[in-house]
Amino acid sequence: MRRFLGCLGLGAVLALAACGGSDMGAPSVHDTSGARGSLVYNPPLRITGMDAAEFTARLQGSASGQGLLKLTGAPRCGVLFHYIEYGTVGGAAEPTTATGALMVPTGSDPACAGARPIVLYAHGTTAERSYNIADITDPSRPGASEGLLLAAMYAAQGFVVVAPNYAGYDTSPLPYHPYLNAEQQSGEMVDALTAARKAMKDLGAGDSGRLFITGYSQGGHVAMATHRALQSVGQTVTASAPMSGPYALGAFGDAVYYGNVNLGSTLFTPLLSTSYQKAYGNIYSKTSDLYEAAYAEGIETLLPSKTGMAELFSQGKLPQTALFSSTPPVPSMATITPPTSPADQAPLFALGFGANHLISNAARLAYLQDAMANPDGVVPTPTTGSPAAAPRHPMRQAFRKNDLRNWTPARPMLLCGGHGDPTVFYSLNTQVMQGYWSAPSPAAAHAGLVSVLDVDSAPGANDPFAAVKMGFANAKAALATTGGANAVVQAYHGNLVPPFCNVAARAYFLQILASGA
Amino acid sequence: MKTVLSLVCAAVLLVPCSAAMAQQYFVRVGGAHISPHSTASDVAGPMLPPPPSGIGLEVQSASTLYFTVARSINDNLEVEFAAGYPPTHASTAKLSPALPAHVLAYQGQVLARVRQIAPTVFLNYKFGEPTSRWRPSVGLGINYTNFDKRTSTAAGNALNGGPTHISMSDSWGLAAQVGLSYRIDERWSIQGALMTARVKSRLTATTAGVPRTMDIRFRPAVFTLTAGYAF
Repeated sequence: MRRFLGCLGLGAVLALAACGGSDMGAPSVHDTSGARGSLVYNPPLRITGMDAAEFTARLQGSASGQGLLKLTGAPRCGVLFHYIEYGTVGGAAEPTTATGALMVPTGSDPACAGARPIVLYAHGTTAERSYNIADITDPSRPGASEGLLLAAMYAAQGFVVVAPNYAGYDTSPLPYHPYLNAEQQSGEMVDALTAARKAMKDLGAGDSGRLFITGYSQGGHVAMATHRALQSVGQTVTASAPMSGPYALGAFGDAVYYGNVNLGSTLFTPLLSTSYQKAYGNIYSKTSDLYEAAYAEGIETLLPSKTGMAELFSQGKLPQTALFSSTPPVPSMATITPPTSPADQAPLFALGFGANHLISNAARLAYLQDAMANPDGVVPTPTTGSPAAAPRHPMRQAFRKNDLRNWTPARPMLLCGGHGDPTVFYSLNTQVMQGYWSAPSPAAAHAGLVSVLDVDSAPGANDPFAAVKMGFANAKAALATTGGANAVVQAYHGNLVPPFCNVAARAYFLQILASGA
Repeated sequence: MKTVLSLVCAAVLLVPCSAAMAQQYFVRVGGAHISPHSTASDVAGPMLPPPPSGIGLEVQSASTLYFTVARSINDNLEVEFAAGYPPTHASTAKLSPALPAHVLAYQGQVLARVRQIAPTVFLNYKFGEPTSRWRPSVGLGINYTNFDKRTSTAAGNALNGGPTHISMSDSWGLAAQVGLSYRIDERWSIQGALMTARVKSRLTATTAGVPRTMDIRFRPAVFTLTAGYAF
């Protein structure tokens, strides 16, 4: 019997063990406060890590990687790729979370170790909800190529990179994206930076306190707005390099409605309209006030999309290029439906008009009537250079609210772009900002503080960006040879300009670091 | 699941209280060596190399204290409840050679330790007579496996990309055994048995909120050697 009792004792041990169910994870902090700038998981997930040689080998393993290496130079540092999740807000200040990348340079090279400068990067427009710039494990995933570009360009040369995916993307629970909402997007950039700095502290990644801000396209606007936001609260911005962004949104928006329809407009319009509707609530009372009936239903939840643009087009959820009707809203607007001048741009603008168009003629007419009554200072005729003083149309009010012609940088800024950009017009954005910040404008910046680079121009004498311009010219010529003029137009904004502007931005940042400014 | 286990225990262990008949009870205590023979699917989930990820696990062998309680139904049939002191298995990295060198450095390293409780109820058929010196037996049963403690090692945390919490689903499945008993006297005997079971579990490794999963199947070979006492 004693043995039997012994067994009972073991049975009791078993039962206890069974109900224990303990989890034995190593210590980590899970911050569920949802506070702005909170780091949800600390330490954050480290997706992968490569030393300089492994990263070089990885890039050499693909044609795109080899091309990237030629632009960036060989990695000096290894890179640790971390995935951060942070507390932020949506366009109506509703609490949410979003994710992003934190790339930390490693290695014993003096350019890689110790306290490093930070590059805060804002990515460009993407339709893909699953966009994750931190996930470079599979090159075919959305975000991977931009993530690798950032890693090779900045992290492997000694910059810490912080690159949010934005609210509404990846695993963010926000059901829309606050697209080109300057207040939300700049605030979110700062939230991501705050969270990343918390992670850096615990990861032992040194912060030199130097902060560079850059971003491309949508991210160019976000980068500039972030520079403005940090400057307004007296926080350090070492320099910024907004690239190919729609900075003068009011002028740009009016130009599009006047018929200068840009490439990609049928993607940008729903992103913008939904963003401003969620933030300001007055863009429309129902979606059919703005959109043609064929698209109005469900358009608020269409983007960012889980399916990708090709499917949205093929399923008829969005027209490929036809933003407006080719029938003028009123006969007097025939000359801008579509515009026939300038002649070299007319074929591009014509793509924006046609059957199964997105925006109703009534909506276009209402917008244009306000644009004529309360004109922008640049469009249709350059006057003050400033945004419209008192627009009445809700969309124009929203554009004005997010137009960046209302401040002057106090730290160095490089504005980079290409003047042939069919997607974000260079003259209406980069050049308008250049004029706005140049004497005799009342908003003129200190002489030499704002530099402008058109990568699509001939190198001048002693041009610090001669190599960038030559590289761009070669890439453009090579594409024209293989794909023709149309391929150049299609690739100009999204593929041709970004790597060269990033090379220029990095050179600019390194020069500012070297000068100690 | 604790409730289920307790019920199983109660059903088996309380039998002596209600049955005052001539049937015999056996208590067998000894050791068990468990070779899990695990096969794991490549881990899948966010931010891993494209599927198949090439990252798998192999659960290693363990030995433990083993005991059973059995009650005979007639001269040839018995019901046996088998359990043991919960063994902890090391789980090692099984990596595709195609993975990059910094990942392959973890090849064979212990990524996790899992403790399992696997009570099993068998219906055994014993050949021969109760008085036979040698009695072979075969048994069929039901196995329940619970992985009650799962820890990710430092190597596991490093490979997963941070402090990792591991969970594993419970498993119910068929079990079988073959055994041989040597009768010393009317009270004492020695038994050896080889048993197996169908065990399936979904492992979820969560690192900084990111869950990655793999399905593990076990075809364990459990060799036991026990001393038995009849009363």
